[in-house]
This record gives sequence, structure tokens and C-alpha cells, in this order.
Amino acid sequence: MENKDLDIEKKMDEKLEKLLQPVSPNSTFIANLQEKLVSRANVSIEYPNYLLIIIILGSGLAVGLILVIFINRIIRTLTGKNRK
Amino acid sequence: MNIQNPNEDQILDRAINGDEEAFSLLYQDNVKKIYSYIYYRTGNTYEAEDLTARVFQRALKHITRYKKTNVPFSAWLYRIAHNLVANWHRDNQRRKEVPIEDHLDLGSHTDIPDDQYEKKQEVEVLLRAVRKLPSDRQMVLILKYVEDLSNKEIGDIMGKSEGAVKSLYHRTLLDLRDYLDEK
Repeated sequence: MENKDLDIEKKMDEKLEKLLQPVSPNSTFIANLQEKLVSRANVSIEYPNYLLIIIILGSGLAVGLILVIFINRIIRTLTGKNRK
Repeated sequence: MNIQNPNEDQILDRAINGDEEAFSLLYQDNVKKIYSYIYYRTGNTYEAEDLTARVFQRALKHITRYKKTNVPFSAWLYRIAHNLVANWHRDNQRRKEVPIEDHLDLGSHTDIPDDQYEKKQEVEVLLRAVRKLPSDRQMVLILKYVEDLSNKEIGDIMGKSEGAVKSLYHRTLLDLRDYLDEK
């Protein structure tokens, strides 16, 4: 059994050795990819400034809240005067 | 594959520190090996080019976090390639057949000699059988025969001992023989 396995292994080894050869990519592909990799490395991606967005949204909410309180007080004052 | 020589070591250090020129040199040294590996795993030039590009884009993105060991740099690239190919197989249930014409650079069936045509057919049958094997076994065969690596070098790439690779290789040949017999 072992000899049979060794024989199979030897035959398969020879077959694979003969048939499997390295494959070269297209030279244009190699050059283009290299250029793409280098140019990509030079591109700086600007991420949005999240702090600025948070400050603007926060300020908007604060101003909105102040306005609501202010308008509410005016309405209360006016309706209170009317009751009197 | 050679164990990193001092020159390669310096290039790698430079690449880790963000030197694009050094990364280009590493790319030139490894692109053919990685392409060849992916080509045999996927079976077509289009996918091989696409995945090779993705391997190097990923390598470039993470090179600054690369930890140097005694294992050659190419082992890291092979592992990236292996993972991307595994994802590709998972995402593509319908895989295309191997365009052997591209591999052997042969003309049409009518204008090639009979012996070359027979070899082409033989390669086609063999590759179909190879692709039926589990991915780690395919990797062993490609690295051993296409890249001509030793069991030790294959072990470095796959994170296995030399003995484990030898045993895996032995079982792979027997399985391959069974697949070919089924045919």
C-alpha cells in the first residue's frame, strides 16, 4: 500500500512539475498598477471637519432653544397682561 | 524565495517608514509571484489583475503597521492574496473556467501543433482537479510547483511547520490522483 502511494506521489509530482508553470502578467498592467499605487499614495484625502460640524449644530440648537424660551416668555407676558 | 538580504531589509525599513520608492521596489520584486498565484487560484486574467491590484493597495495601506520577522516580506503578500482569493470565491458562486490559451500563450486550436494542444488539454484537466481541492491544498501545490518554493518556505507563508506542509502535500497528491481518476 505504501509503495503504491509513493508511486502515485512520484507520478503526480512529475506531472505537476511538467504542467504547472509560472504565469507572467501583462507588462502594461505591471506599469499601470505601479503608477496607480504611487499616485494614490500622493493623494491626500481631506476628511470633513467633524468638530466644526458639531459646533455649528450645537450653536444652532442653543440659539433655537433660546428663541423658543424667549418667544414663550413674550407670549406668557402678553397673555398675562390680557388676563389682568 | 530568498530569506531577506540586508539590502531587502533596508528597502523594507524604508517602505515601513512611508518611502514610496521603496514600496515600488518591493512591488517590482513581488508582483509577478502574486499575480501567478492569484491566476492559478481564480483561473482568469481579469480577476488575477483585479485581485493583484487589491493585494498591493492593501499592502500599501497597511505597510506602516508591518511587523518585521524572519519570514520573508512576500509571505505577508501571499497571505493577503490568499484572504482576498478566499473572499472572491465566497462572493462568486459561479466561477469562470480557466482560459488556458492565455496561460500557454497559444493560438487557436487549428494553428497549434498537436502536442501543444494535448498539453493544453492536460493542463486544463489538471487545473480543474486542483480547483476542487480545499484552498490550503491549492496553495501548497501552487507555491511548490509554480513558485518553486521549499516546504520550509511554504510553511513560513502558511504559518505551518515544515513537517505539516510535507504531510499536507502528500495527502494533496493522493487526493488529486483520486479527482483525476474520477474524471
